[in-house]
Amino acid sequence: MFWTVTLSLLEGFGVTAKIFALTLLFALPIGLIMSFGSMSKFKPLKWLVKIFVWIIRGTPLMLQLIVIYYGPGLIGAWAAKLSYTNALISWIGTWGVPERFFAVMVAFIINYSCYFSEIYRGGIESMSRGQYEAGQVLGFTKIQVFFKIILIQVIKKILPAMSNEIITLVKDTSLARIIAVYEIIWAAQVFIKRDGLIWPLIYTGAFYLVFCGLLTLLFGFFERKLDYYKG
Amino acid sequence: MKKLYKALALVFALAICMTACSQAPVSDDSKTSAPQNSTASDLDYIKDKGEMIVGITEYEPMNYLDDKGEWTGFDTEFAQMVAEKLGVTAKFIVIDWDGKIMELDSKAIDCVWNGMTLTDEVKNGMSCTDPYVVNAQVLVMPADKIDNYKSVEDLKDLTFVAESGSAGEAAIQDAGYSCTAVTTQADCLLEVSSGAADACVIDNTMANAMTGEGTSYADLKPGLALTSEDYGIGFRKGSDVTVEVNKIIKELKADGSLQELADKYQLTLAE
Amino acid sequence: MMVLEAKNIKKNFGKLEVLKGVSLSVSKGDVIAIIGPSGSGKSTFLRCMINLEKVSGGDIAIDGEPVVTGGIYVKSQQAKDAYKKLGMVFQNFNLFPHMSVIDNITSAPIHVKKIPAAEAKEQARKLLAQVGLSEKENSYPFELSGGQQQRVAIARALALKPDILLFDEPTSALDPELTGEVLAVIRNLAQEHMTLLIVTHEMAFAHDVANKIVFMDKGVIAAEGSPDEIFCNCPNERVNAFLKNYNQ
Repeated sequence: MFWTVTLSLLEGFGVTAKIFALTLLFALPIGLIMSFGSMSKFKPLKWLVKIFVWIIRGTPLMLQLIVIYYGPGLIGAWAAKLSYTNALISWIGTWGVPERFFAVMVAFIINYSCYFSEIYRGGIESMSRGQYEAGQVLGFTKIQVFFKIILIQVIKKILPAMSNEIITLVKDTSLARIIAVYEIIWAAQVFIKRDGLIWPLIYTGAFYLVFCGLLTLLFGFFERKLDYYKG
Repeated sequence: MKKLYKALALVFALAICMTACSQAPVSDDSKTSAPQNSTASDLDYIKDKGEMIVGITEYEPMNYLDDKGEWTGFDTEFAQMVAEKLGVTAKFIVIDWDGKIMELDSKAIDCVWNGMTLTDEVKNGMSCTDPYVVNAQVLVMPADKIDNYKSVEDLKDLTFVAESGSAGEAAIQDAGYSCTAVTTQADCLLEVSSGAADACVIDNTMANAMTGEGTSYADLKPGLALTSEDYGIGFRKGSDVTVEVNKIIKELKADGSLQELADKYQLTLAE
Repeated sequence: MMVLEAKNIKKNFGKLEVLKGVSLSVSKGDVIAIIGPSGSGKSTFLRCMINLEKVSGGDIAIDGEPVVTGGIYVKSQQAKDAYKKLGMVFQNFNLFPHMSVIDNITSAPIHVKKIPAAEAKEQARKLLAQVGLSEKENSYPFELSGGQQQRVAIARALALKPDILLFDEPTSALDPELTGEVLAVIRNLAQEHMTLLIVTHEMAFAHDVANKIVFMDKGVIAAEGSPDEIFCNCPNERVNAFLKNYNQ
């Protein structure tokens, strides 16, 4: 039984790890782009990004999952029933639910991009103006200044906040089961429902602990790597 | 510095590998997003796509996986029989039971068919078939105490738990007692087993399958039946499939094939 | 020919007029010290010269190439390249903390001027020897004293071989005992006939090293002339009041 459970949980954990990895892969760069938006001198863009971040950070991820997965199908079914119709409404009437895993990825990437963008923004805004000016008078382009001078310093500054957020992400993946994406907690709950076994659920804790432990070591490694300078 | 970039690149590459390699089975329900003819009936919609997506939870003896990892159980076989008569294939997908009405309305699934008790709440939220199986809601308590409770009056000093929105919860409330609602029937057993509540009220079939020797609840035992109830199938509200399926159920009863199935899984058919 | 020529430079921060028409001509080999009370606009003027602040009006030409005409910035490649003839040393050094001393000096030659890394390194070592920090090439800025950091910053600016080097109060952020080493380096540059434009509060140093002193007050040049004219028998009362105040 132990092996059956372990294998089943491992399969669930594969999905957990996939959600985790894909979210990071997309949310880290998208968050950076969004942080530029929230610092933009072009006011409409800045406010658009700020309002979007407010909505996403101000509502539960669980709600976002439900809206993104069921939303299109519900709107589609509603539009199909309307007595009045035109090209737009009949097009909306064809909307259906997206693929479950796809919906999970969209929700997680949007949610984490917003959190990451705020962390990036804090880091970038804390940089002294002198670093940009020194880069400029030495003839660096704006892009060179950002990637050769600013970014590595920002990474060092935001690493603790980032590692915190990324470890939270590991545990947030368990929300995917709300729209029936079978991650590790779901896999464990199957044993409760089917076999009346509670211990597999407790056992999932070990998977999370090991994974977060490895991440903690990895972030520790990065922090030591960046420890060669101060300031 | 270069080393750091290398390390970052490595992590990035790993992340890509992980996503590429872990092709875990993800339900392929992309077909549900295929364009629908907005004027067609629900029956035509299901027939057009050639499959009926059945929302279930893993629940013996209704829907569970056999040794080969295939879905089996009373409701599984029953749904397959009905689907065949409709000229479509039944596809089973495990859903979060709390989200069943949203799953139906958004067309993520076409029906819920999972030993569902026909309560007023269920009947309000979806289009339900006539009952096909009868079941009871039973009291479950520690085995050494259960025999002290033989009537509804005996229960007055107990604390109860039941699944939120379940027939068990309704049964406790109808008896004039209050209870704590939890998310699943299995959680009810955990509450009682841990001493958080004195007793729970759950399905008879569930209670038999999940308590006693070989389970985590060897110390629990089902007893007094509070109510009897009917199982039905739920379709989208306003669906015309319900009428059609009612007809098919009558046929299956008439030719004895449904009775045969009920005997196989030790269930009682509804009149 | 003038290596840097500014005519009637104006600069507003909102409604506040910081520069009210400042003109300055710099010839090759000039060492010009700009002095004056805080808020007189001398740093802003210097920053306008190297495009760290946008002027509100006036003309600027670098080595004969107009970069600002009538308050409008010229958007040509020549104008862009002209700025490369200017180097700048900041009050707060602004070294890159994540780079070693040698990387601070070689980064711009390698990435901007596209000089081969080995060549850039060799040149950087010469510059480090020139500012007396040969043994520090693998140190990081946080390991150096303020005076040492400022000397690295000077070497970094020199690595791009500018025609004119601008200093914005190069010793103001230093402890008094560390100013001497930085001033000695600047003095050496002056003796090698490098063109220097120095905003400073070090009066003795300005007197000693500059061939021209510009005294700014309230956004205008209140007096200019040779060090002896400004420091000895200045006809301007404001200059005298400032200097008197300063010598106390």
